[in-house]
Amino acid sequence: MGMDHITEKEFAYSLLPKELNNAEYNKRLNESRIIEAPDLEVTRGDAARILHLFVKNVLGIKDIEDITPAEVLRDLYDCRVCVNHIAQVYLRGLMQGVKIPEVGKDFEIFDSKGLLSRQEATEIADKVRQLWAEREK
Amino acid sequence: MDRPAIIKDSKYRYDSFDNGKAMPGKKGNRLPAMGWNSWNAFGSGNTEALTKAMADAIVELGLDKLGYKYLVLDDGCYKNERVDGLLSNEEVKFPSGFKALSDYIHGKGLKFGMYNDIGTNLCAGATVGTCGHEDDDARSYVGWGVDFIKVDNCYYPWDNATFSNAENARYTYAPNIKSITLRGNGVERVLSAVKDGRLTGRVASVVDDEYVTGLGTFDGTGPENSPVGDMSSELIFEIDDMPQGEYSLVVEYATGKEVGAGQWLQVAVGYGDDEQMIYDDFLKETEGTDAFTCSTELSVALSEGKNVLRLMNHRRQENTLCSYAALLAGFAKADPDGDIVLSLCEWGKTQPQNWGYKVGDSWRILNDITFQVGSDGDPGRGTWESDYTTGVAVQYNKAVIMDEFAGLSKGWNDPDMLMIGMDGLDMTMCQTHFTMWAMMNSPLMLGLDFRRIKKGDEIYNIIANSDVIALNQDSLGIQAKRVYTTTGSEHPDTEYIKDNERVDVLAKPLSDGSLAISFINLSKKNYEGVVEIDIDKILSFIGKKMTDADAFSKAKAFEVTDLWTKEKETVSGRVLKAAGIKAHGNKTIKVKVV
Repeated sequence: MGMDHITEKEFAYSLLPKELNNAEYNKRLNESRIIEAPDLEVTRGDAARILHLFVKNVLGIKDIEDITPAEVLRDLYDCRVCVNHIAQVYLRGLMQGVKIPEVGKDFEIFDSKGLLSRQEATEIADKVRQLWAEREK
Repeated sequence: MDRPAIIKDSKYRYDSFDNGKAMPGKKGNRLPAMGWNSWNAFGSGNTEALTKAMADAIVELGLDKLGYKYLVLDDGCYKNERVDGLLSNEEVKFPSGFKALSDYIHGKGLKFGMYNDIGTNLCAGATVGTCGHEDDDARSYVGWGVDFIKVDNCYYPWDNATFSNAENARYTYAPNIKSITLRGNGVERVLSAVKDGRLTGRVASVVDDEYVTGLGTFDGTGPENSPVGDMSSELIFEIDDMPQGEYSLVVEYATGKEVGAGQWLQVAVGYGDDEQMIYDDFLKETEGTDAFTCSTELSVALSEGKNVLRLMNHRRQENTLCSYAALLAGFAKADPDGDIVLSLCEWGKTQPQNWGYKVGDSWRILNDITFQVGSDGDPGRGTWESDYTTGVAVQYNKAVIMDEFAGLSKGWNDPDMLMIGMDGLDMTMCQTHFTMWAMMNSPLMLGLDFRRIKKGDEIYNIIANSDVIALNQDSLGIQAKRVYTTTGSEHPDTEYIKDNERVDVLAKPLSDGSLAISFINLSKKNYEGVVEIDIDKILSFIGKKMTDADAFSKAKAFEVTDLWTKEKETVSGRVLKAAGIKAHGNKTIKVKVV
């Protein structure tokens, strides 16, 4: 386990809203079957899945309907089963793309196979807590 | 396995694709499959309980009596890894196991379908793909009583498929080629790829007037290219002035691991049954796609007179065919009398319209129709059109010109599962979606949660329209042909048209001698004009496929039944019309001679 990376389980639990106790949260996580490989280092694609399902099933926030603006990510359709997960978290600003420099004009990919860093995970958790707080208002 | 299958039998070769011969074990002569697949409804979240609920609902709604009989578990149902080398059920979602679920479904008078992949993993990640496990997995499926298997293409090791290494392109494209040298019988001949060679197909091109690139097969996953015409390119040298005998052949080449420039070269002399494949393997890697070097000496025998020397790479299609054929052979071994529908799902990537009939009962033609699949409580979302493969119209635009690839003895073009009942499509769109798929003899695999509908509601009335289903299931088994489009195309049957501002007219011969005709408005605007189609024009396209074209050619009046409104009328003359077709709407009629 690299120091800079975290597991699926750690990532999912890092999204814990303060308003819920662990038992309630655990129940919701299990019911939503969000975590697939708890002890593996979480990739950006897996993080997108966990994050999207968390936002949708635990926080109860509906999907953004039009995901075509996420097509700026050149690799959006490379991962058939995670297109919607990536699009939803990207369009909500919960996860960023990765800028690739290119002569003339930079472009963006999602890099779903890349590992999620602890720093990114922390930033995501902060944003999710803001979402939760906004929802509670 | 560290390399694709060594092909020893010419039946797996590109040159055999148009010989009309299916692989042993392919049953054939099936009408398009009808049923329900879990993916659009529940994604990876499908469960045993949900599947049983769908089985119960199909019977309660009477959909089984209309032909919907296959219930297919899509991705997300297996344990993440093999157990003792075998597939097994994910124990939380499918606690009773697949055999028990299969028995439950069979007990309802329905048929049981499952899902796997020709790669190493399934698309959702589980490392239980059939690659290298074909015989074991076929035995498992037979043991579970599976009647239908959808086989995907993720993590495929011999192509740059989804989740595969992008550098797998090295298997599917020949290196860039600058020249060849033939030596022997006192002769040495250097032939330039650009000046002396000839490129076939639309894939390859010349770079800087120095070398050729792109010797391979189009990737058909996206909607960019027409499915009609040459899908592959070869570099051809026609040699007719060299003495008969053995020669050494040296190829000046540069390899890559990217689309257009690969590392695998096939060299053959002649075509078809006369083809002599003299090389089919990697060449030694070079430092870059423009760092040319010379191959080792290959041995080639030239005959007297004209010889056609072909440099190419058809492995994209051949590898995928071999993988599906291995699974088909596994099923034949596990149960020689079995009757399992094989649904190929390689997304049109390797142009399965050319070879799919050899192994499969249907073949997907594009990437997915939606990526916003549902879950329990969420119907998911579909669209009418997009710039990629998502949307009814995108899939239709490709499938509608693929009718000549389909047939009862071959199999069916599959523009993916139905999105009826998903958010984003209104009832007009859903009705037209259903009509299109029925007319095009596409599999009718529903993807909605049946608990959301009841007999007689709008969705039910679409999916339960027995007159429209009858078009799809007509025993003549002929996909409708587009015979006219308001764009004015001179070749409506083969031109790939992606602009949806139009009305198409499809015609389909039926076994009772009648014709089905659909007027389809692809546009988001109502069509204010009248679309007319002359019976003689229809006959010019599909007369030879009709059971009684003669009666139609002589008729002066027709009985016309609208298959959605059920209105009947008698039309005099030889022109049929549709007026005021609303946006995304259709008028679909059955026409009989009076």
